Amino acid sequence: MGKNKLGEFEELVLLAIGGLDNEAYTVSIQQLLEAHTNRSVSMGALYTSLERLTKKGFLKSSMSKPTAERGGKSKRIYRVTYAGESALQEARMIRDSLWKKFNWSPAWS
Amino acid sequence: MKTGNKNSPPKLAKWILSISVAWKFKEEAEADLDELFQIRLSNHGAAYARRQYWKDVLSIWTRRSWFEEFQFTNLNTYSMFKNYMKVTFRSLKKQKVYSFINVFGLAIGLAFCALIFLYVQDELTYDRFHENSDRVFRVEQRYFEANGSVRYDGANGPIPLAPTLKQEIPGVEAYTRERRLFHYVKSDNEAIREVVHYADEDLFKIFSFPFISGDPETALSNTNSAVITEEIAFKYFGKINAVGESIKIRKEESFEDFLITGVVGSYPENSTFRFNILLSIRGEAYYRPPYIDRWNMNLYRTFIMLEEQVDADQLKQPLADFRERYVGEHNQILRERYKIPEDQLASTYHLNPLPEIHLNSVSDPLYSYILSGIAIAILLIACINFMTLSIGRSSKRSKEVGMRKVVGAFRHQLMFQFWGEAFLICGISMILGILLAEGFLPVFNSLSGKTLAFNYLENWSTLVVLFGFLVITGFVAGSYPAVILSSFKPVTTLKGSLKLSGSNFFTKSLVSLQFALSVMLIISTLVMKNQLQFIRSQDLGYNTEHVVYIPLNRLDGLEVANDFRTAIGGHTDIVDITATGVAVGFQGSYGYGKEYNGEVKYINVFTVESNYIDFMGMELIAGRNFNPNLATDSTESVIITETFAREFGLDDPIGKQIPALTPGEDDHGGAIIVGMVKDHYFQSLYDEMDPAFLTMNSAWGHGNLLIRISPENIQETIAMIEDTWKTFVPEIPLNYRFLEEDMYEEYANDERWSTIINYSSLFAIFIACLGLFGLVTLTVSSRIKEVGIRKVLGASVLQISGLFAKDFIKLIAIGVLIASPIAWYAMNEWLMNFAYHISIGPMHFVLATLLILFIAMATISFQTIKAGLTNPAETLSNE
Repeated sequence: MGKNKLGEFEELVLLAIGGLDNEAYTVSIQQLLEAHTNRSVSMGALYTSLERLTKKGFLKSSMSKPTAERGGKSKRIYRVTYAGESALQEARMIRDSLWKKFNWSPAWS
Repeated sequence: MKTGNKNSPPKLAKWILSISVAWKFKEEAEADLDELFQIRLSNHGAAYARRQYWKDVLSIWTRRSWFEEFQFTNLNTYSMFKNYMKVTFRSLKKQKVYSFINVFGLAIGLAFCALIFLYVQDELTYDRFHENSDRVFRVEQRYFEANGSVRYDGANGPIPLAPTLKQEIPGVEAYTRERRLFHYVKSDNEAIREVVHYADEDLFKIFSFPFISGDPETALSNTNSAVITEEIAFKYFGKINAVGESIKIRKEESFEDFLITGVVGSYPENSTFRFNILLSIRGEAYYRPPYIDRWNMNLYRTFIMLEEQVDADQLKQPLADFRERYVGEHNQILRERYKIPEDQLASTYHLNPLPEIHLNSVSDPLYSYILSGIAIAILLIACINFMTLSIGRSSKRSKEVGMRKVVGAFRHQLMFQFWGEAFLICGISMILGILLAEGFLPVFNSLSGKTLAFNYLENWSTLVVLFGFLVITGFVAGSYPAVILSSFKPVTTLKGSLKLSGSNFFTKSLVSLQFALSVMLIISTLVMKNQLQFIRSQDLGYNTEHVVYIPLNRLDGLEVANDFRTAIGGHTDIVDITATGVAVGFQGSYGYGKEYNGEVKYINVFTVESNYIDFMGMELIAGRNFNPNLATDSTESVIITETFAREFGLDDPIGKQIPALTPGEDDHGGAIIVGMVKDHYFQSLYDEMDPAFLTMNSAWGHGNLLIRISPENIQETIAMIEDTWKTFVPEIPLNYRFLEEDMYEEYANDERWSTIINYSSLFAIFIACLGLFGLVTLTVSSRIKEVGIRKVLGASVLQISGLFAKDFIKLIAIGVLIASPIAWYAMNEWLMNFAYHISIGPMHFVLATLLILFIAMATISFQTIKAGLTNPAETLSNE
């Protein structure tokens, strides 16, 4: 734990990137997150998360070929590293174990 | 921001983004936001997309802290920087007096600079807001001397000039002629006297006045239409959109209706052509035969707009030919009179470019230079404070410098530190200075007669220039500590063997310079005050006290005066009543320009009644006064002034025919001189007195009523005059002034300048004294042990104070010596404006010197006396 801890938003970002496979770049990540969370996601927050995740070694990025839709500019494609995947797994394990212990109110049964 | 495509990202946001992400992702971030904008635009519309764009930019801005961007290569640089900041703030806090002197002095200097920048900018951008200003010209008549230099430029032109120019000179696209008159104007309520302009309909093609409503193309096409400003619309109709309403204007003897066809919104103050109410020039009184074709009557200002690509210089020859064609005869007369050779021009039409008219003929660019000079002088004084105080304090900072060098600081790092400190202090001063400038703006506006304002956003050049001031001031002020302090050798500073008494040669010359600048301003203030007082106290040769002066606007003055005399002439509070052509005062008068014995003389004519000389309290020195019972006096007699007799060489003028005027041709030709009055100043003291005569001949009209009232019950008397006025002239409201008040308006400009110089010298002395105070404090503290020893050996308080005072008196004396000749030269130039002026005497210099010595001694006495009173046991105990 400690260094490899994932924040909630970071977790969502990692999941989104994993879901987008080879098409994961800033704009598509932002759009996917917005669509799934029903909240507006600011680019400032996204940039800081992406940078932090890259520093932690959970993400790798590479530049794509320039495309017409971005006005001839290339985009940075993100991919989740193995370390990132294991951080996700770890986070999920922690969650799952806590989920199992949760005492639900009768309304949910 | 105001403009800009709805379907593209907000420009300002884009700019903020471009400066906030000076990091490696910059290009990507821009591309990202652009793409997102397009997506949002197609999904949610432009408003949403723009809002989200702003949100993203701001989120990026807030999340990337500034320090992250500096890309510090190693931790050391960063922590050194933090250390510098800490040391700077510590030394600011520790030495509150010096910090205050530095910050406050610089703030005042910068505030001055900011205000004067606004003034100069306003002067230099005169008329630039007119979109076509670079191809608009005023057609002026230029007259030459025999040697080819310009003798005189006449701003007005004859009525047919503009249309004929357009017909005959290729490249003239549009023209407008302009004349301004005072008329009474009313809607439903009382009539008010307003300036009314007449112009051609193409005016709005040439000048860019923003129309709120109405069509600029057709607004002036009828003689009964009027264009007004929004202020006038509000004043008369209580609303801004007054198009279609009608306004009553008394052009001739009765009020006529004018249909409002356009309302113009507010436009920048610095426009040469300004108007309140604008009518078609075709309705102007002289716009009819025979005047409409006359080339020898210069009534209208003429503006033309050239086609694009036409070079005004290439029109010089065509214009000279044009002039010869239409006023060739006049040219011939001029050639003979001024002996101008045939191959040279006697006169021509000259194109004065619109953006230059203001500085060419209305305002003197010299004022801008003088003001800039003063601002820079004050800023310099503040900078010198900074330097001398840094030098004085350098003994305290030298240990720090030594220590830093020992632990490995390079010289350039120390320079960076000290300059950084200077910039920081300047930054604080700048903020304070802008606040001060904002506070002083209303005062400054009333002094300079402008309506200036800081528009930081619209007028971003203000910000750029303020930043420029900041950089230059920081650089100058920080240069001494940065260059000298950083050069100290660590061994000498740490051993404490470095001698820095705070009064080396460099410091001394700086202090002298400061006082030289202050003394210059003090001398100027004294001379200007003295001259203005001289003007006011000058015996004018007549009595202006309690004279009510009523302009009559085309009413017959003799008739009104008689009505008034019968109605209230016997009242105890009415001393006397008289009708005149022009109220004597400093506006001069109507007159003749006549050639006499090869010289052109301007003869002023005062149309008066028989009681005029008594009324004004003038002194008759020869001949007799006008006799009301003598029929010939009312047409054929004149009373001349002394100057008149002198100028025309009349030794015994009484009984002679008036010279220079031709009987039959000139209205006053052939009149007989019956008397002579003592010279009196009917012109301002700027000008040499011209010859003048008084006449009762009403050919030139009695246009003004003068009533001398007694000093008691002024309120009641005015009310009585108003009532009487209403019974005789019910359609026009009474409009009166006191003669005394009016007279000195002529000098208002110089009064203003005197006040500005006065304030400037106050501030200059104040800042210089702040610095002096700081410096003397430092000197005293560095010599406190010496004082102790002297006291032990028996020196008195006075001797100790004198010891310190002596040094400063020397410096001030040098300052006075430098300043005096410069101030003498500058003030002599200024006095040359006045035909009647004082001469600069030694008293001005002595007074200025005593004043500055007194102020300086008062400033330092607190510290020096304190030094003299210290107990030597305290200062010497720790040795």
